[in-house]
Amino acid sequence: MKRCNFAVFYTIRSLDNGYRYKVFLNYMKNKLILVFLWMSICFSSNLFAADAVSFTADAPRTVVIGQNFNLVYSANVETRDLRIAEFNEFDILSGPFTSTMSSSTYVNGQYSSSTTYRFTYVLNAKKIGTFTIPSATAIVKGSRRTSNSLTIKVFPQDKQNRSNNNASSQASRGVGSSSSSSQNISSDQMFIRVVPSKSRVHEQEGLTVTYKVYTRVDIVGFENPKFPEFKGFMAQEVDVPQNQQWNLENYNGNNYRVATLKQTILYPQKSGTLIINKGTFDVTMRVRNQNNNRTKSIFDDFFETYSDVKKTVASNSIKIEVDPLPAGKPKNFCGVAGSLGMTSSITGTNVKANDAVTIRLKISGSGNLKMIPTPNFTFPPDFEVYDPKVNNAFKNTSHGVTGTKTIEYLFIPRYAGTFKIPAVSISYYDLSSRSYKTLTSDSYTLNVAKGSDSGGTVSGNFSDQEQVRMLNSDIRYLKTDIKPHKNLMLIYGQYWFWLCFILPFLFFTIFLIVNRKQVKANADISRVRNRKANKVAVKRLKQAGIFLKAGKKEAFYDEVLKALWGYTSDKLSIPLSRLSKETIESQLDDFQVNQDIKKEYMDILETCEYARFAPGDEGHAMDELYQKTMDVMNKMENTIKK
Amino acid sequence: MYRTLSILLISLISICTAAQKSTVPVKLATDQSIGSAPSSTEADRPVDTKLSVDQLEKEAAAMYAHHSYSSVARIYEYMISRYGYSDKLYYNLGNAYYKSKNYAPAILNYERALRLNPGDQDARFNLEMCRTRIVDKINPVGVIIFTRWYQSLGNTFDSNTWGIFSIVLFLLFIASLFGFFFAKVTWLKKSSFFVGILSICVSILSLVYSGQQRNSIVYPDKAIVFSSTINVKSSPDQSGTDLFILHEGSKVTVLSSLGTWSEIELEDGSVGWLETKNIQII
Repeated sequence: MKRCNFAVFYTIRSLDNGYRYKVFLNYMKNKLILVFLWMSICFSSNLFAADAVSFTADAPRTVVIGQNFNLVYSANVETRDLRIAEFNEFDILSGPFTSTMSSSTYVNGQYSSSTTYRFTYVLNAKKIGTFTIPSATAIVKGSRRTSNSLTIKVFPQDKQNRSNNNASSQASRGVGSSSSSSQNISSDQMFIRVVPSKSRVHEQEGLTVTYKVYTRVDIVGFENPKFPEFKGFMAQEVDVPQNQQWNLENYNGNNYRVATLKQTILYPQKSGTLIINKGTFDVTMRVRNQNNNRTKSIFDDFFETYSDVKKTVASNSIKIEVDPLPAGKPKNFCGVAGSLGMTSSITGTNVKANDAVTIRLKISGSGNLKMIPTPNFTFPPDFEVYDPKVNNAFKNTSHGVTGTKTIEYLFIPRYAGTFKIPAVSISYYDLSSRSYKTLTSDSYTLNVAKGSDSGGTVSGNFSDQEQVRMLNSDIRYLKTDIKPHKNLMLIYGQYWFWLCFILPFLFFTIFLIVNRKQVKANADISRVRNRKANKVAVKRLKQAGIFLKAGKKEAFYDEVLKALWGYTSDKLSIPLSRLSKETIESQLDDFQVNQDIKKEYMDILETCEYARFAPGDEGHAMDELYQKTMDVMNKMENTIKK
Repeated sequence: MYRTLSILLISLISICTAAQKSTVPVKLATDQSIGSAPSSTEADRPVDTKLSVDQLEKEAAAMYAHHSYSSVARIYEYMISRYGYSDKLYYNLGNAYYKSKNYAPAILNYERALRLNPGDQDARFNLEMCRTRIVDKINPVGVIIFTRWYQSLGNTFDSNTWGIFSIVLFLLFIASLFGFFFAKVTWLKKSSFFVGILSICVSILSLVYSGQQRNSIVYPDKAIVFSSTINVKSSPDQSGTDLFILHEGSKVTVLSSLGTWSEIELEDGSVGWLETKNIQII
């Protein structure tokens, strides 16, 4: 298919360029018929179907007094009966010129077309100041519509021109051209200014530094820009739109076209007077060639020649006074002066062991946000804690850096229980209230239930027991009840200390000696008696024999008994007081005396005791008893001796 | 016989009481003031002299909680100069110096606390913590394990405890002697024999320990180096050959002294001379 593109096209490139406009008007007058011819063609191909109807007004925002400019009302459908409001501040020089621009495209089977209807007025500002052009009305597609209103700033004329009061055509060309020579462009024709938003700031308080180019000549391009280092500052670039419009600005009485080259947000890192040094730029300017030798020709307006001029321009250096932040910085001061807010959230406080939990901390606000540290939550040591994930969404605008820092803390409680996660806090210097402020997150109490046994434990078959983990080592704490004393009593080496050893030992020794002596003495007595026992007994028996011959029966038995008792008492070491038949019997057993002898002995004792008090035949029995006694005692003496 | 015995006993008792009356308290041989008090960066607040011992103690604990350790040290130093010393006071002072990172005075005070109460496990623990912070690490020469056991057993109690222990065991020994000599029953005789042997052995050992602990207090010979760096010389004059270098906090044994110089021995057996002003006797 053939691609059709009809367009009635005319443009006014620099609407603020009065000179050009004049050229254009001259041109227009000649070509007007041609234009209308084109227009009629366009109307014939009136095939568009406009969906949205627009009706807008457009004019430059800044103009210089006495300068002509265009006020254009444009609509995208056919418009009739345009009515504009009265305005006293501007003269309507001419208009409205109506024009139509139509374009239709057929691309890949898609047909589209658009038409713009324009109504152009040429105005001239009469007064200095800021004025409003009220909205106009027109019947657009059958209904009356209202356009937007416009605000136009009117600057005074250039100083030079005013003083010269030059009404020549050159002067009326406005700011675009000047009488300067092409080779020599003075610094008031073109310069670069550094404009800080504030000249006195606090430490860490942001300020915007704007590099603006002011020009009264055409600028083709910038090359090799050398911006200075911002010593003592932390700098953040602000994105400047690539295609900038020239704005008109009145500076030192002259009107300049102004564009922003670069905008930087600076955060002073130290207090004192900080200097932003000069920056240099290579600027290429387009300057009209002036041929003074030649007479002014009629074609000059059409065949003007231009040449490019290169010049190195330096910006001014500026001083910034930086005040230190007031004293009393909080411990957790994060180094941000501005305004901040903090919110925190948790995915859940009632979880199961081995489930991952996330705490999300959002810090948002404006200021030097890159300085915000990542606060550290104090998690219980049993938790498995991962490195926090930080996401910075900062935007550099001409008012400073704004945005949000989001920090996600991921952790996994491995054991059941109730755990406390204390809050974190950061402090900043609030510029609006001129004081330090502290932001505190929420603190959380985490109830961890026992996780499912199956998939949860990492260690597999091992038991969950583990060693007590030593987190830190430190010295032990102070002791209480310290009780200081002047003197120290040491018992070692005192007299009584040694006496404690000597005395008991002496006591024992003496006791032992005394005891031994007594024992020895006792032993001697019994031995003597033992040795003499037989003798005594024999003596007694002899006496008994005398009694026997004398026939004194009672005395005889008495004597025999005495002999027997005495002998056993002496021989067996039985005291007289304990002497009885039973003790004798047991003692004889101890001495292992023959049972026969013992029996005989006991018989004799019984016989004697019986016969003592019994009457009857005496002589023979007494004789026999006497013999028996002698016999038993002999036998006993032999046995015991052994 | 009985008369002589009773006379003897009475005379002994009278001697004993006389001895008790004439017990002379032992004065520590060391100078209590510590030469290099820490240079405090905090505000030097003078110690309130009107406070009692308990109040001072509370004050010190409060300061300790607020991490103003040099103030704590100053309070304890004042208490030592005014009210005398105790093992716990030395221990606390050591803690204050440790926390203010003055390790040499800390070691000195822990050692003093241990000298008064060798069984203080806290002081021993903290002293070990301190020793890890100082420069010199001195390895004791070949001490066999039995010697170490012997020493650590002796450090379980202080002199007085060992002394009393020794007396009690000696009395037990006497009692078992009675049992041995006068018991009629055979098992009592036998058991008294063994108990007697055991108790007399332990009693003698305790007595030895008691004497050792007492000597370490009455005749202290250990010292702590206070100068940050010091060259130990081969002879007691400046021109002597440098033998080795000691740093702050090291423990030395003073063997003898000559004028302003002291002969010292390290735990590894090295011997040399240094000026007495560089060390502090424990």
